Amino acid sequence: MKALLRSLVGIGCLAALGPLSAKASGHVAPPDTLATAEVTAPRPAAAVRSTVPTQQLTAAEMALRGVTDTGDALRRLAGVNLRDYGGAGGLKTVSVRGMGATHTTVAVDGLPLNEARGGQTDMNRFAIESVETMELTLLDPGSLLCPVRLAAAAAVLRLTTWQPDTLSPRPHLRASLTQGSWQTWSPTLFASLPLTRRQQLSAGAHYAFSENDYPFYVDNGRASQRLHRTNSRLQRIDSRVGHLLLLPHGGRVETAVSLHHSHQRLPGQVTLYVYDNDERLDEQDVEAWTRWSQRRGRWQAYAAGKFGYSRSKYADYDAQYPGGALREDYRRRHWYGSAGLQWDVWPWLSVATAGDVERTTLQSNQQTDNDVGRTEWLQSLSVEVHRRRFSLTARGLMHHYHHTAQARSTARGDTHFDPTLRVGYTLTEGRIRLMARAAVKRSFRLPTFTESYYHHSGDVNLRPERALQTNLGLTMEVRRNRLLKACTLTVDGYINRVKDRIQTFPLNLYLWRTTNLGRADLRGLDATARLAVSPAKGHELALTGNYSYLCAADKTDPASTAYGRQAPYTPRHSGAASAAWENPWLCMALHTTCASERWSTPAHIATTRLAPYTDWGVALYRSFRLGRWHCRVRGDLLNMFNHRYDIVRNYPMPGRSYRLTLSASL
Amino acid sequence: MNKLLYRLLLPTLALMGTVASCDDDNNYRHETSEDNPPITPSSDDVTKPEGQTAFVVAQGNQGYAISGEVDGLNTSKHTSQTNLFSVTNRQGLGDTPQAPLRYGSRIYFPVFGSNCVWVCDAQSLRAEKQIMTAAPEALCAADGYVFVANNDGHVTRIDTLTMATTQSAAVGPNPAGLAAADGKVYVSISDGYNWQNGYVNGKKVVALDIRSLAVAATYDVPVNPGAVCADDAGRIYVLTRGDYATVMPQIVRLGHDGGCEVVVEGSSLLMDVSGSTLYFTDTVTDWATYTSTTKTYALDLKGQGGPQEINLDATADAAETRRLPASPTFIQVSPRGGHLFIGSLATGSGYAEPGYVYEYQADGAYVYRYSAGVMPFGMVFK
Repeated sequence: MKALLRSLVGIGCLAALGPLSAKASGHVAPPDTLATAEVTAPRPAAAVRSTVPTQQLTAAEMALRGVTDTGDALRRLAGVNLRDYGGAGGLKTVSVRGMGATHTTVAVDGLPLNEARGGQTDMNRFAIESVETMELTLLDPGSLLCPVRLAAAAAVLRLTTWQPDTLSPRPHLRASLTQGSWQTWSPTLFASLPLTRRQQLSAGAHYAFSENDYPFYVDNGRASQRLHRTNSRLQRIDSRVGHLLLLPHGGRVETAVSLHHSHQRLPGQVTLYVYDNDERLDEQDVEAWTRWSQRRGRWQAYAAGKFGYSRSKYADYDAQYPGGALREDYRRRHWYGSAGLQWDVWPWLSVATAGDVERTTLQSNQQTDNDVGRTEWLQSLSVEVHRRRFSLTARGLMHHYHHTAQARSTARGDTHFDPTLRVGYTLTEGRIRLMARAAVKRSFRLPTFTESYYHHSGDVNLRPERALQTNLGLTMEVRRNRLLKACTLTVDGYINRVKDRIQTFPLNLYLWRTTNLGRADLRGLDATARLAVSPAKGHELALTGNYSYLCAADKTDPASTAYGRQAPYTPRHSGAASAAWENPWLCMALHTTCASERWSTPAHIATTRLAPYTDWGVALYRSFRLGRWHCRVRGDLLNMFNHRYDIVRNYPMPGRSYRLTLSASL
Repeated sequence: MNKLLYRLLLPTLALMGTVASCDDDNNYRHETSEDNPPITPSSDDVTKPEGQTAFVVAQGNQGYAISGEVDGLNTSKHTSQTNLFSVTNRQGLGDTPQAPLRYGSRIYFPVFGSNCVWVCDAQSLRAEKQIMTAAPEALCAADGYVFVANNDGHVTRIDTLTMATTQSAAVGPNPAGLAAADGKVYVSISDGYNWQNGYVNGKKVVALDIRSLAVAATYDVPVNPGAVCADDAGRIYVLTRGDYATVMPQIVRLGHDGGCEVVVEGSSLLMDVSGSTLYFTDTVTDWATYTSTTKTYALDLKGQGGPQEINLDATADAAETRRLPASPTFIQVSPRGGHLFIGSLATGSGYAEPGYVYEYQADGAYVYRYSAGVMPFGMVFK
């Protein structure tokens, strides 16, 4: 029992540190690696053993479920509402349980991204070829010891990228080439090289090019026409160089430098009778980070530091603008440090504390949101109790922040204290494991630089937008056997309330202002299911599905026609399902995502209704050996019934398309 | 033959009118009364364009993917009908239409986001032509031409006989308002996208010769000029919107010396001129509570007195907020009857909800509230 408890704690800790622990086992690891050896096996059960809703997709699962890009992967997660502006270059943002994209923190390789300017992360910048795992946790990270920034967020989406293969003593090489519709090409190369018994050097690069000029249909009565997206070319390169040092007693130091560069032409909104667009977006992100973690007896510790520099250059070429173009050039710098310590006092009691300090500055060619900065201190104290079937985690979080601004009023600073409490109780163990879980959390999100400072509309007096989340769920897991490889089910109901919502609205015809106004009540249910059976050797049938019900009602102004109505772009029902058959000959995955009707307006104006959609796809693939190379050929048919739909109105999604991928690993 | 007659006759008549007006400014006749005789609704069916007495442009909201539309009002029967353009023409109007213009038997709808001007029959609303022109912001008409202020820095002239653009002139960055008077077209130059440099290339009104589109005069005005109106004496009034921070909006009258005089100062102004009366609304925002209060005024442009508030509460139960515009979007005076029409959002934050058009008598007495589309932005009367 003690061993099990220790293992659970260990799993929690290592999961929190993400890639730190992934695959850290076996050959090159030092002898005292009992905890890390357990990491790879229990992952499928993380969703059903955590006391907060947790969903995870590994690269293998993504392949099995026919996932073709990051946006597609996100649509397979319950509770996620993806805003997809269509096509390979279209902006993709994630809102979880209707709370808005700014309440979701994205973490890459265990450390949070900073989006202080606009508040939302464009998930399109992460190539699916570089993503090893994608994990979504709601309310609270599953582990006791983690960066406070992650514990502070209402939802955390964790991506693990470009992980070296620590299982093999030999150099590891992975290469793939994808070719798809509309002149899409994307080669990927990744290599890891063991320098010594304890050191790994890894490097990866991904390039993507797409004309992205897919056809779409403009429904305009007798003037309806079929057109192609124009000005939609995408070029992107991602690269990462990493170094991993394994220390005795399961410690490790990981260091990486990553570069993201993209040059995009933006096709813009479909506007009646306008056939061209001339917007450009260039983005560069450079990040360097290092992280150390160590476990010694009852103690665990970690420390991490990160520096990021981002540049975003937007241009809209039009004679209306001074000099013939509207240019917005933003440069953001981000310093982040985090450290934490966990003490397993007794096998049933653990305490942890962690602290973050973060500094973000923004320079731009704009008059107002220029030379501004924000410094944040976050501190957390967490206690976890495991007693037989019962688990309780309490976390208190203090968040202090203040702003700086050159030659103008600064946004207001403040200190907040937010608690989180989550409990789990295993109802039955044995062949069928049932667990009940409940959690409550208070959190907030800060106003972005744009909301605080942007010309005319920004307001330095904004307060944070506050959220209260409650969750009650039930999970079920059936013990594996020779036939049954996986059988899990989770059902979670929730009630969330967001108040002091930060909204921009017109004070009169010309003047818009951002202010804290309004409230949203969010009630819903998320369910996930997975069933995998192996009827014969080499054969596996896997069925997965998720369903979300969300009632996101605006409760701002009873006099408004929007009062009580479903929030824009939020489907009441949404879901995804896939069926895969893996076999020695030709594997197949059939998958679908769907959503009920939505509206682009809060008042549900009839002309702004977006019809329900169902998007079907199929993937065929086969793996084989070619000498020392392990090869795979894969073909994907996307939107196979050529269904016309928008996720964001007037940003049409692509119709039927294909992708061919050839990959090889050594 | 008819075309030839029109081509010869109209310019001659126009030239006569120009010469006459040059003799004495007071003889100037407002284009509305002469060029836009009343059109009686030809149908009792208030669901059709022929049954309307006025049309309202609902600008929509591009951010929320709400296209523009044309709604109809029957001010005699107090009815309104939405989506008349798309129903009549079986295609959409386009995105972010601006204030329409009636000239003769046609109505012109400038559609900023869709780079076009629709020419429609004023009775049936049937589209006769779609004229492509860049970012049309405002219209005016005179002498058989319709003039378009293009936000790319031009004024384009449309020949109303051929329904084709005949000439274009560069006038300055972001022209925002137009009015024709005294043989000239007055265009306000806002340089509105250059706020970072203090609208440095704006702050002026350019007068173009109607015939040649050559610059006849330039007037200095306060920052960010927008709407332009002419009174029945041919004097030009310009609404300047300020910099939304320290410089407040004003309404100025152009002078003879290339300058202007301030007629009205306010917090957030909308205006219309009818005959010799300037009507305007002023919306004052309390920044502590983010609530706005709107007052409406009339100013006799011939007299020496100041603006007189029109009490829109001047009915027995006008305290009902449903009888008052929550957030005005335009003010317009009917050419016949002198009733005030004020477009408004449904609520202060109702920028993505259907709005209203309020009708009041000239003394402010409430008449009716008409339902309209999202962001009602301007109207024309038959």
